[in-house]
Amino acid sequence: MSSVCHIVQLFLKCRGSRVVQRQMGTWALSRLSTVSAGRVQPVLDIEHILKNLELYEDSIEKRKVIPRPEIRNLPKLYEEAVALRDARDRAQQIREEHSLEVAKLIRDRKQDKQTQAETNELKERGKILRDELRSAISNFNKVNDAIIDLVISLPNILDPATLEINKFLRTVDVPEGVKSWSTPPDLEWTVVPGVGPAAEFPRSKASLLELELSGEAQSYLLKNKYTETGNVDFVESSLFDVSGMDPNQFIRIRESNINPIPESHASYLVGGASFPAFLALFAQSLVKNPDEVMPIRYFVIGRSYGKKKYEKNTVYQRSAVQVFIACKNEQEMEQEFENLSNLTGNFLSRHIGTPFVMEQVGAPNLQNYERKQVAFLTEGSSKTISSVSAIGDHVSKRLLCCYAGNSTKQAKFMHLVTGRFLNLTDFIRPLEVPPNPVNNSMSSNAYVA
Amino acid sequence: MSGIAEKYTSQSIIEGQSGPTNVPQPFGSFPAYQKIIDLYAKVSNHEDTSGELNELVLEALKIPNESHPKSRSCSDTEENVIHLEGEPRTDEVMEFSKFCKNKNLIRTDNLGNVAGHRGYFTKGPLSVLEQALIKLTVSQLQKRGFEIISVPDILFPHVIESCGMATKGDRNQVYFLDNDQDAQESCLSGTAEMAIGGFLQNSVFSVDQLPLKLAAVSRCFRAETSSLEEEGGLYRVHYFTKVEMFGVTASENGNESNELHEDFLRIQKELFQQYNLHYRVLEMPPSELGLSAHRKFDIEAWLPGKKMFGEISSCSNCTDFQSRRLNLRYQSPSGQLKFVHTVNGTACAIPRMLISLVETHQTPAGTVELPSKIEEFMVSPWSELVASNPNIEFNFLRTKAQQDRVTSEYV
Repeated sequence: MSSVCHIVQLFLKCRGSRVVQRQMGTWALSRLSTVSAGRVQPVLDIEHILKNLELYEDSIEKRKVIPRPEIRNLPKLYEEAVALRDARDRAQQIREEHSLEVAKLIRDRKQDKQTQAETNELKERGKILRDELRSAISNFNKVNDAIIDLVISLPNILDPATLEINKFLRTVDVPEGVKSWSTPPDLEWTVVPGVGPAAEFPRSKASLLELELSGEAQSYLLKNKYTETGNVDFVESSLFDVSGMDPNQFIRIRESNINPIPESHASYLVGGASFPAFLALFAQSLVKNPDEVMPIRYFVIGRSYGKKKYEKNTVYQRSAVQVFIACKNEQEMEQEFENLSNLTGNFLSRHIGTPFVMEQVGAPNLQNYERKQVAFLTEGSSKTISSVSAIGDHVSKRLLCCYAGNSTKQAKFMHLVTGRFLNLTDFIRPLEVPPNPVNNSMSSNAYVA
Repeated sequence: MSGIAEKYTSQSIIEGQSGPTNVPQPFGSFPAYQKIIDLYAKVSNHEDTSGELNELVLEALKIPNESHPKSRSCSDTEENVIHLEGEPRTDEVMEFSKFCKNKNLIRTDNLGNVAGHRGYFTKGPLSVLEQALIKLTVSQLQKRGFEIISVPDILFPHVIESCGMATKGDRNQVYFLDNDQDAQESCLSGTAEMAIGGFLQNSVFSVDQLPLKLAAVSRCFRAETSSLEEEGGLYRVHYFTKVEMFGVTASENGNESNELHEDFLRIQKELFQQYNLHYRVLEMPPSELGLSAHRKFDIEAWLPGKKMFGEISSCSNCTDFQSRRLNLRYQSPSGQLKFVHTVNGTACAIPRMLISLVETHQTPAGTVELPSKIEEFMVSPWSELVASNPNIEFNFLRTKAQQDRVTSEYV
């Protein structure tokens, strides 16, 4: 047992450039305790994982997760945890029974020597039982902790369509009769050092294009029965803790006059046009009237912010149109995924007038919560201007994004689709301007000396 | 010698004439200024050690801008209303947050755990209205000669400080990025004015290029909080969208920035008149000007649901405060390099504008009839958007017991 736990702990220490610390303790089998009342208690659904070990293993393999989680140890670990839990519960019961016995004896008020001796013996036995219980709890917690950490770090299973490499799907041209898009030749796009780490200044036409295109996307989506939202820009670390999403790709923020904030209460700048922002709307919530409102189709026009993966000190800012769909089940999710992919393609080719290449994104390039993703690239360049992803219920279970089941009082978990309908900034940016300007150090003091 | 130190330590000021600055005391008697006077004397007499010139500059940078005479004559305790427009609604109007929650147009509660304090979502017609306001405002500004520019929301601290906003200390409103250890410190911008100032830093204009008028739509981040009940909901939030005006003028006759400042105010009044809002314009006293403003007007709209005036816009003339720090200059007709003057103003701050529009144009039937000028920019009418907005009934699973109850079959 200890070697398995050790391996799990080692895995966690190696993942990424920063150790991902689970901020909440554990109490029952596969259940996290909460640091403060009201926090979300994820459903880790270990039973589902145990039934689909091969799919998870396949996912880990194709995504090239390093170090590789030893998911094959999970059944044994789980069996061990169940046994230790039962042992703990037995120890608890024995101790409680013993306590009752002692209490009864004291209540009877038999004061003779023999009774006093019995009492003392019982108290001594009580101490032994207490120590045995503590030991049983500790043994159980060790294994339970290991299970939970392993499960939280598991990626989503993959859709069969997702391969180990990107796969070309098709090229889509602009239909006849549709005016082709061409980037205006005289776009002003200034990168100014010494202002900020991602300081780009699109001017005049470039700036107005962003407004114009976002307006086009807005009209198009509203006509296709999407509802517009305005989203939060910040999310708390608790959203990442339990979902398994990597917070390192986002920008952590703080107020200047606040003492260092504990990790459990850290805030991250994600931008409204992002998947985590939409998750915040549905986390820890049950939709009571799913038949009336689902699938829920939302979109937002806003910013997204983040850090480039594996590149230190590089932050980015984008204007984008992000889509989010909450479905009842897998079938509905597949349908919506298909619909959104078609909608996105039609918008690009028939509405904007830009041809594009469609790709099935390979597993190593997916977020760990995505099952599959199709990307839309501008023809002849490597700019990804749109994408659609199927998530399933992987994140919903962990964040309790759920809806009321039909006849039972049990929740069902949403199956999610999300998409970058249009990456406005990257679409408009002239080719000669590199994306993600490198963190610019202050070139000179602007004060006049 | 720093252009800043030179200005604020000129002989007339050192001699203790009544303070021209936003500090309500004569210059000579303000303790911190004595230090500057002493440093200036040393440096002027060539007694400078290597650190003293820098120290003089750093101290002088803390001196606020001079105040306009009209600002100095304003009372600190009473509102100085210089213009009143329209009539207030006197009938009963549902307060914005309650109205929007009833129609599932907003969510502000139970977000602390996942989105932090004062997080908010808007939905349906409220979100569409936000985009309509942005498009309308930009279109109006373009017609009035503004060049539109997009700006970054993440800036280095010195850019923010050059615009007159403190980034350190107890009362600042700035968010910092928690960067990797060896990265340069960065902050979130509180207004596009900061980024535009940074964009223009170290520029030299020809006088023909002035006045320059720029406008930007940006996301603004402010850590300010309030425990007042009337400032709950969307009234005071940590992030919002704003359309900002920024102007740069020459300073030949000394009145150019005043004229542009009045022009910005006129634009704001014209914009808000189109929205049929009842509003008032206030001249702000020195205690409300902050570090950078020479003169400031605030516009407050009547919020009939809250039964109070709420600030929806402001407009400041910063004269050469920002330009001295950002090194913004122009070449005068005489060939001299001079510091420009800068002016800035809010064309549209979305959350407060949403509150004022929804409350002002609420009908007894429980809908909102927006002014035609705004309707032109709405993709669909308000009522249609309300009808198509899914009326989602949420149960927030606050406690462990509630969560366990609905998920027991998975555990």
